[in-house]
Amino acid sequence: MFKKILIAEDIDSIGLGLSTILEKFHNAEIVHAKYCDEAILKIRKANLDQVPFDLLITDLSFEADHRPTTLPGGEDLIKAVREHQPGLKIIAYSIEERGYKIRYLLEELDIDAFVWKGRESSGEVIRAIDTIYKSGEKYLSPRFNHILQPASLLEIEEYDIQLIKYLSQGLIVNEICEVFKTEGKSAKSISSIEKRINRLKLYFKARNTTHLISIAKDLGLV
Amino acid sequence: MKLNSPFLCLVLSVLLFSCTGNNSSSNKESSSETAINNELNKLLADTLPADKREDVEKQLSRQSSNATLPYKSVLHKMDSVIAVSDPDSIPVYWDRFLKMAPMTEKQYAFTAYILRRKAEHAYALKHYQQSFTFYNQSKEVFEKEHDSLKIGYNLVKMAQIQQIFNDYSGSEETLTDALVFLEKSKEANEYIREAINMLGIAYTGLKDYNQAIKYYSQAKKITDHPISQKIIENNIALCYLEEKKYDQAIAMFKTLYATDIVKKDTLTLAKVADNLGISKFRKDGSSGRELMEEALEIRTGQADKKGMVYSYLNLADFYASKNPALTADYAQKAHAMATEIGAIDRRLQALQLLATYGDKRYNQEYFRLNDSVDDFRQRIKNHFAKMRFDTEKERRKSLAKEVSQAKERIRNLIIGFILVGLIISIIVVYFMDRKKHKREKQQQKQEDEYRTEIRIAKKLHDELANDVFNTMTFAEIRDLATPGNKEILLDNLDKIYAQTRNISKENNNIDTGERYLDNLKEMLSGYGSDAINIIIKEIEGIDWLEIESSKKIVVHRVLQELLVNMKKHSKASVVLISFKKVDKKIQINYSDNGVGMGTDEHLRKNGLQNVENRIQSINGTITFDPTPEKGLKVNFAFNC
Repeated sequence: MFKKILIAEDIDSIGLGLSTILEKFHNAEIVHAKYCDEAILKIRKANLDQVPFDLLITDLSFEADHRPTTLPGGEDLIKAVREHQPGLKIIAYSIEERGYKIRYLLEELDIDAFVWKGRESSGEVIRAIDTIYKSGEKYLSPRFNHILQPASLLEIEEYDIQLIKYLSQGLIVNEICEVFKTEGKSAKSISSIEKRINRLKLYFKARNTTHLISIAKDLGLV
Repeated sequence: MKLNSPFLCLVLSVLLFSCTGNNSSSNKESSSETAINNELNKLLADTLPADKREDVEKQLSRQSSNATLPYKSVLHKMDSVIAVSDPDSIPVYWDRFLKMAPMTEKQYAFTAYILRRKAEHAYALKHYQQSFTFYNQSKEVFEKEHDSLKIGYNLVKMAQIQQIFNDYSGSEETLTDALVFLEKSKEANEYIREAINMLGIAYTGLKDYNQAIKYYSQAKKITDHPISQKIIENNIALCYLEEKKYDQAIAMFKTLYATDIVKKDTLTLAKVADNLGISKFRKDGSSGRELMEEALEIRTGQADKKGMVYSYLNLADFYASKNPALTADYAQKAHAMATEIGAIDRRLQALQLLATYGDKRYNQEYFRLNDSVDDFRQRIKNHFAKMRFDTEKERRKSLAKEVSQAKERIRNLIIGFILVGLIISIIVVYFMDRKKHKREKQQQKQEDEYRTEIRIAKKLHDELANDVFNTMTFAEIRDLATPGNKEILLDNLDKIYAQTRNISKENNNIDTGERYLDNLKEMLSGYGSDAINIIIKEIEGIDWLEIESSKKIVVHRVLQELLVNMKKHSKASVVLISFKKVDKKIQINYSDNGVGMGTDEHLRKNGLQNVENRIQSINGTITFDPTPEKGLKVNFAFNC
């Protein structure tokens, strides 16, 4: 198990809660840092003393106070750590919810775990430590499982709008196919147009084509 | 009739050396002086006979010790050379000196001076036309020096020559000009006096006796020389005589005749006696003979030929009705003497008398002479007028040129000023506008911030405070030792936590860099659910990297607010957000199929005022669908 753990957290109670739980499950030396600058100094000193840390648990947001800081946030601390001790395991422990941010931390900055601060999160930290220690795999709070895939939006094109317009003008699929062919549009076959219409029904929550036109009309598309 | 200029001889000597004023203090033998000395020596060698040259050289070496300044020394040497030269070769020397002028330190003053000396020389030789030309040239050069005293002097001399040729109207113009220049100078009193006296002569010649008397009186007033005053009085009395105001003329001549100063000056006395005699004769046709004879006696004694001509003519006049033979005799004498001294007018007068009272042959001669004199005088008059006019034209031209140049300079200056003023005002307006714009932006930002704060405070109050209060009440009245109650408490707290997260999320900072689109898409998709489909059209069709950060933030916030609004109030199931770039404009259309906002303007204001403000802060335009029964439609656009 990890022998020497650094907790970078500016709110005392959270840091204290964490160390209580860690001490309960692990027999490790736990060091606290309330500023990112302090944290990186401690990491560098430990390296010099040849007793390096083997895990960093850090918050992402640190409240600014009167002290001038060179590393204002957890993200900066992580970048600095990657420079001074690339192999150090890092767990980000934060209330950050923005998917792209979390993806950035895991993929670009290569942190080992992201644990979201929530009701059950102190237990989650233990699970994260276990995961990264035993399997070497990354850990992510379950509620964010979906965000590892980039946002999946329902996207349409001008082509779709055109399609709906033709439908509203009373054209049947065969005729629409002909029009598109003369216009050189991509979906030329009847089946591909039918697929499109089905997808649009899904997107616009329409139960049949008539319903689709009605909704499109409400939205001001036709 | 005899008209006199009593001042000119006095004046000349003063003038000769007035332009040799010492305004340089250099004692060095400058290179130009060396050049001039060489030139002078050459001149001496070329022109003077050996015996005279020695004298001159001696004189020159003596002078150069106290006259080392080039300009001054040249003048001295010049006079030394002239003094011993043959009068006929003097003009040649002047021309040599004229060539030296550019070597001296005062080229114009020197040139003008020599030209004037040439004029004086020609005048002394009675080459009046030539003299007039030189005076005119000299005057033109003095004009370059702006030496008004000398310009005035030259003009007076020119007027004098014009009067010699009876060109009185020409001389009147020249004198008027001369006075303009002379009055600019402080040392010109004597010349002014002379000019005014000559104006009197000119008007007498033009038979404008009132004017003549006016100018004579003026001249008399500023003259302090007693005999000059008497001569002027004589001239005034002559005007009265010509006007046939015999009593006034006789009274004045009588007074003059009895004056001591006049009595001492015999020629003047003769003149006054003659004039008094003829006045008396003109008045009664019989008296005055003794006075005229007295005058003739004095004049004959003094060999005053000019005066004698007058006396002969007057006596011839006197005897005309009494003794025609005597008249013819006097006329004969007058004619001979007038011919001798070249007094053409008197000769004509004599011829006229001879033709009437003597031989009829004279009639022919009279007309021949009269015609040729008239013709000659007319030609001279035209010549003078043309020369004066040409100079004047030249002067006017250069003056007009100066004026037009000055005008152009002023115009350029004005244009320059206007331009500079315009540029400055544009800059000032620009900066003021920018400052104002900045201030407005700042204000807008502050208002935005203030509104955001209010919104957050409201949210904290409406959404959070109630829940926290309920949870507190729950914790107070329930036994938390019971596992069920503890679970409820924790659930409630978790809800509250999630609410704070939402508030935070809505006001979080926005990444405007490369990950802006990811963030935006994520935000948009975040409002989608099983019940609500968020459909995006061609969001990738816009190059978000080239859009200003502030505008990107506005797009994010506006869409977020529209979606928050949608989720809360609209009951919509489908939302379509389409993006489009037309020319330089980004157009974003939002539409949903919810209940819309109804026609309540107040409601719309509350719900979407913020959206409107944000769009306006980036100079964008926003329109709400005018038929709001079916869902909400918002279009906004801005320049990228």
